[in-house]
Amino acid sequence: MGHAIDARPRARTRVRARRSVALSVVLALAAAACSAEGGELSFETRAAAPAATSAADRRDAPRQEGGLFPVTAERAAAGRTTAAGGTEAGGPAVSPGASSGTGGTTPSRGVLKIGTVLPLQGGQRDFGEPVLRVTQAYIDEVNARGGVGGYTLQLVAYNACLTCQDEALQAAKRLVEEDDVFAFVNTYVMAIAFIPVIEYLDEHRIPLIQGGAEDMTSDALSPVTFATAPPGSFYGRFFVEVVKRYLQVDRIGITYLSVPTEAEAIPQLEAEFAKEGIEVVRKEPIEAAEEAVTSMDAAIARMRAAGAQGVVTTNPVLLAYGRIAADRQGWHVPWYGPAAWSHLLEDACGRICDDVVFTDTAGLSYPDRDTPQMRQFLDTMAARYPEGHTTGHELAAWVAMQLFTEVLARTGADAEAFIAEMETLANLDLGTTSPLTFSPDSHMGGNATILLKLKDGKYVRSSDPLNFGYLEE
Amino acid sequence: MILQDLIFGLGVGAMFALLATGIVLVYRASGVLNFAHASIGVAATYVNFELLERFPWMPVGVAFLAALATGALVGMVVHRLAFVPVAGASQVTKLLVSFGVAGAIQGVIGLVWARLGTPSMFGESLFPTNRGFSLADAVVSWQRLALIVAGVSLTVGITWLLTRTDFGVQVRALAQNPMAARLAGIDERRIERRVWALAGASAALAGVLLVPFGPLNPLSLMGVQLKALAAALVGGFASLPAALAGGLGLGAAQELVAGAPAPFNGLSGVLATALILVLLLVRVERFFVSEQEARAVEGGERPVAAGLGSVPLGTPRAWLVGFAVAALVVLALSGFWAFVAARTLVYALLGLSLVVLTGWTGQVSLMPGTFAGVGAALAWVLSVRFGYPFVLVVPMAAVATVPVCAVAGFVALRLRPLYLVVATIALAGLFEETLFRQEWFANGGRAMTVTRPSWLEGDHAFALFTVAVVAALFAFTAAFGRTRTGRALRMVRDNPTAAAAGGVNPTKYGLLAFTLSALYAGVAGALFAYLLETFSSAAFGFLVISLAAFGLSVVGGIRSPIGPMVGAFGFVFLTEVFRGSGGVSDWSSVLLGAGLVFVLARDPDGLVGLARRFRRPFGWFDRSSPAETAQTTEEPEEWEGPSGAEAEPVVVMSRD
Repeated sequence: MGHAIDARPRARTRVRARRSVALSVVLALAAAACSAEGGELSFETRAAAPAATSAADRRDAPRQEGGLFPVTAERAAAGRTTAAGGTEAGGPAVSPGASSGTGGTTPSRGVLKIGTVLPLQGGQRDFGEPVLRVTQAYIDEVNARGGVGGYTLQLVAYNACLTCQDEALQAAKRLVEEDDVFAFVNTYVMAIAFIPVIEYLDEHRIPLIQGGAEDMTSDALSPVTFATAPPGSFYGRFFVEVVKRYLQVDRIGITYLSVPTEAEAIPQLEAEFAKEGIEVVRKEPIEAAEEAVTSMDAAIARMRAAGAQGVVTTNPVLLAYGRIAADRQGWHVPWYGPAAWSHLLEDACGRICDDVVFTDTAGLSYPDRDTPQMRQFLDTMAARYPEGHTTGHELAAWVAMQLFTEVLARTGADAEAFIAEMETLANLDLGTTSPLTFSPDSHMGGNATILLKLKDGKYVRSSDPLNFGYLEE
Repeated sequence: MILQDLIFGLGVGAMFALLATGIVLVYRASGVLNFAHASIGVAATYVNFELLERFPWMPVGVAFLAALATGALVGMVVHRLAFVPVAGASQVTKLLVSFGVAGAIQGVIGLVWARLGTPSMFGESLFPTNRGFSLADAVVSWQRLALIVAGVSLTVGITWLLTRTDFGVQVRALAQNPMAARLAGIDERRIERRVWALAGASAALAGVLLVPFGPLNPLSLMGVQLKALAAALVGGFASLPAALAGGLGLGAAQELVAGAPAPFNGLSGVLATALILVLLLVRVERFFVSEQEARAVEGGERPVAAGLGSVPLGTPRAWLVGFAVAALVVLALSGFWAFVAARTLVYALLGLSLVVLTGWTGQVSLMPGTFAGVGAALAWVLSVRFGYPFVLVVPMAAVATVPVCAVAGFVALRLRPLYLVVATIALAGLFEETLFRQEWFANGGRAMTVTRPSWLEGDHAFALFTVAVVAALFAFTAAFGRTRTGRALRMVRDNPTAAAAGGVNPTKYGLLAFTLSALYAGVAGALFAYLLETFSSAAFGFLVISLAAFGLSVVGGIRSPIGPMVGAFGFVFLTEVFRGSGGVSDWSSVLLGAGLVFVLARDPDGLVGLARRFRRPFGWFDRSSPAETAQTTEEPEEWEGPSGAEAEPVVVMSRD
């Protein structure tokens, strides 16, 4: 079906450039995870973990049984996934419209507050409002069907700017100490602002469930943080494999934002390319995303002069405007970069990106799955925002809420039990992303992503879900 | 490749020059260093692309003209609503109002296009971005060429306008001698209105031509605007051809450095800020601007309005009593509100650092947050890397902040007030791109964790500790302000020449103010670090804390220690009291900007100035010393020099 959530006219699209920038920070952190292992890349850490109950072990087993994505109507209707075994049929236990696990037959236990902190004002509003909108929509739908485990959910959202660490901590403290929230959800655009908050939530044992993650330098994240995105180490490998197998070049240029989160990952990435015999002929740091306006033309010319046969970037803004600049100069080489369904590529680059730009879903969500859960998402958003434009990025926020309610239905409002249950989840298929598996040593549950490319200015699938350690078409 | 980089660099430089033109125009006519210039251009750009999307039949040229008209209209509206009310105010006030206007315009854009949807822009611009011509192996798009042509044409055209027409003569007359111009019958408001319209249209032109190269959002062009400021200062904010040359030169230098081999190509950002500082220090404008013109522009610069009457300092005893009451209040608060109180006091202390530096000495610094970041990082270095105990870390971090920040003082003492504003922005950027990324100093920009001692673990304990530290510093400042040295600082601000004649060395006192300011900011930074416990240097970015500290100080009243205390209470504590529960409102940005303009238009001394009209509360505050009360409430204490002789206030910047 290709691009199920992108059916609205282009004229109504909202360019999510800044959201893309935020996402790029998350993805750049993923790349930075390459440096988490004592300065040397090690993508096999998870697979090599000795514990029999490690996420890698439990993730591998069902995959071998074909359990990753055989998403059928029968399976979706089969009921809930069990936590301990992890190999039974998937399908959400708690989602809008699903009676199992919701509060329809459970005695009411009152209101359960959950909190989020997002940039909701001024020039940064576009970062936070879509996430808040989706989260609230999900909660409203759940509550309309009786809540979760007897609880009626109430979302409390506070504003903080993207880099305001003191403001974010103050908002988080208010949520915990004054509003008495049970958990936090969907704060993944707040990577910088949440630096003190993550410690605070850990200290107070407040679970944090979301699509991406604030800190991806460790797959374990913080003890209370869980993310539906794949581990950071996955992306280090993914970059190299895509260049080798899809771009099929051995001399590349790399362009990246000159910020610590992206710049620090480059030497490790370069070393990993070297292991595969891929030479990085030119590195082009761009001072800031807005500098793409002024600096890309010259950067492209230099990479071209250095003999690059393809370009890798760590940032969707550079991917879009770099490719446009390359087209201006008649330089038609393949590009790869993380864009996660960002409409920046479609709106700004469009047909210019056709066939030469590869990107992926960042593992945050799989918008083209045809499942009951996906239809609930699409129907809900279409009913609430008929003029709006729903993105794969917003679906990630929905996925996080599915995960949250799934576990809440099992454990009730007991934070320790909730966290323990999260760490036992294996191959939980929510119908909207890849199956999720967590463990004490990995709080990033995604295990695959999909390669995309642009055709006629629109995203199309370029691969099946791609997994750790190997790629499969 | 060098030629190619140069060609691209000139294209980039034309963008800087295009924006710089409007900035120079507005500064000359209204004395406003307009940080809202880019936002005006962005608003017009939104209109341009919205028209193209909503009415596909509309020729791009018509939409372009509509955008220019929008830019002109927004410029006039901004002038009338925001800057006419503060026409007689200080440059600090006008600068802050321009920040408020920028926030308000961004808020309006968010409100309008949250419903309409951000228009997509690529492929519908005036000139195609994906087609161009080859020149020395470089492909230059028509859009980029249009930028260069527009930048040069605009500069030439406006220069002609200013030098060859009656309108230009009137603008220059107003810039050089407003009073004489008024006596000659020049309608000041009408001229200013036209200039703002012209500048708004030029911002729109820049936006429409520039945005197709990048994403459109309310913050577009902000990065380019900083470089445009650098271009403008080449001509001393007076010469348009020099601004053009500055823009082109900066663009070329940036691209040539970017074209250097790695790792030097990563230094282009640092180079730009370093270049700004060098240009400032060598006073490059003297090569482009006549002495008369420079004096005219510089003569109108007054960082803090003078002749406003006295503002209360508060007596040391009153401050100590006040903070003792605050401590009791903290004990009655919940843990969360104790945290909020501590954060409020840290911001008040940051504001106090600006009272000494800007309010008393007249040196406008936009980098208090950067100084605080230095203090916070030093707290981490001293406690984690060197293992010093907490009781030593805070004072040591504060003292160690002084030499690190001395570089700013070194630059500051050599610059005229307007340039210092730009220099501190550049320095803040330089610190962020260099020192704040060092492994040994700021953990490479990653998270830093400091641990409070056990006796300060709770929010109440830390808030009480903060109360004690801040109380001591506010009481000291109140006492210091009454000393001969404190009065000398204010004399340096109001009239350096008279101060020198009175035996006051402006350089010495300026340096003293910077030292004291850095010390306060260092303490605030160290407290900030222990308040958060885990933080990164990104928390101290220019746009994060510096602007907030500056804004709350000016709105509260930057000449009195009471100002930042009042401002911090409103900015941190009251904001938390009235925090919404889940509401999303861009109106807050709009209302904040409007409120800021309202307060400053009513009284340049902000809330303290407004309250001064009801003297009774401050009469109580200062009554501990009748002699001091008489001095601080009846007499213009700023004008009492170290010899005790009173001087007449000089009334400046009044256009009415």
